Amino acid sequence: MKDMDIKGLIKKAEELRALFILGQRVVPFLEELFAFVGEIQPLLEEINTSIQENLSKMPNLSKQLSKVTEATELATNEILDIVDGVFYKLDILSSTLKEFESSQLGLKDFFEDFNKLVGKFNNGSFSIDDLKLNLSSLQAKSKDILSVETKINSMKEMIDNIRNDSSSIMLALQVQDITSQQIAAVNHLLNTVQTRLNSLISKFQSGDITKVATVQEQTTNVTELHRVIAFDPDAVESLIDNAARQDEIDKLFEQQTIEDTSSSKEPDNKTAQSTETLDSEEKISQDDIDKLFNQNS
Amino acid sequence: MKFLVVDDSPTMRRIVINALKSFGIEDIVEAEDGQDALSKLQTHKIDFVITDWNMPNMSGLDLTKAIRASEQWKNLPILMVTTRGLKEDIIQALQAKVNNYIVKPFTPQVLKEKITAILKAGEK
Repeated sequence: MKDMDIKGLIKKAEELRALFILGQRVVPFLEELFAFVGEIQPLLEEINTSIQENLSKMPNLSKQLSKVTEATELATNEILDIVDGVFYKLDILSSTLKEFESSQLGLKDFFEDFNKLVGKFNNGSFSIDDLKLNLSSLQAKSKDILSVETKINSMKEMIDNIRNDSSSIMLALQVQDITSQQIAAVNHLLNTVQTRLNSLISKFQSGDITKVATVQEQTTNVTELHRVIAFDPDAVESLIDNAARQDEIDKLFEQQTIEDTSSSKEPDNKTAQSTETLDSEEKISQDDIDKLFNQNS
Repeated sequence: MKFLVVDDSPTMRRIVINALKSFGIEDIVEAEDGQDALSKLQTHKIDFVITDWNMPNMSGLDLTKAIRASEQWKNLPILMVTTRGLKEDIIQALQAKVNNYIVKPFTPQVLKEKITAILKAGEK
């Protein structure tokens, strides 16, 4: 073999040695990397599931907020319509009152004329001609007196109408309680999402990620509402078919009352037994009510 | 006759109280949750309770159960006024022995009818 070939072989061997040395150094790093990937995989899966879970809540949140907006808009318009009606009725009431005032003036004139006649009668200066002269005027003025009753009745009717309008406003204002419960439900969901994301972020121990977690905590905290509001997550649903729901509840309560008064059995046990067969998520129907109470009889 | 109006929403308390006053009922005590209601029951001679269901600290349902469990107040008329209208809710209210139940939003007329019905039933 030539010297050159041997030198070349030695050089290659040294390169190979250097490669092995590098390999020896890289292997622990690669092992560490594999271990890290192995460890991080469930965490990434958890993040993925959590993000999917939280994203699935988002449409519900926006749907609930949309319902709140719709409900407040409806109630506000309803109140404005009623207030418009109240103003219109107040205008009518005001003009009726003016007519009433002029009728009262007629009434005053009537009594003045009448008193003049009585005065003449008392001092003996009364004559049939005086009576004839004043009779037609008195008759005309008496029509004003008769119209007073009609005007009073019309005003009474208008006041009742305004009272009913006030009741309707009270009904519409209840939307404030209903929507505040719905907003509290949304706030609760946002809190849940934030807590879940924060707990995920806190699992990363890297300094940079810890910093991110701290920043997240400072900037994305869900604000507490101005007071603690216990909520019905489906509060806004109570605005839909409210009258029908109340009707069915009334029937249920009426039947329960009849049952309580006509039976000597323990009502608590009976209700508990009969409710076992009912699907609690369903809205009440008369059939269900009948079923509930037939089981008791 | 003294009424106790229990609701965590000040707006709702005001609406109920306004309605009661329009019926000529002036003797009214307010409470903001079930616990507050129980303490008001101890300090006032209450004849009728109108309560919401969803309230912090103690719900209207728990308040009803506490009232029915008490020897002193077990026959006190209770009217539940709530947004909850599921069958499960009504059954729970019936089991807790609520005298009557109104789903929000309600008209003052409905409130008056329920109060009258409960009082009439109590007279029998």
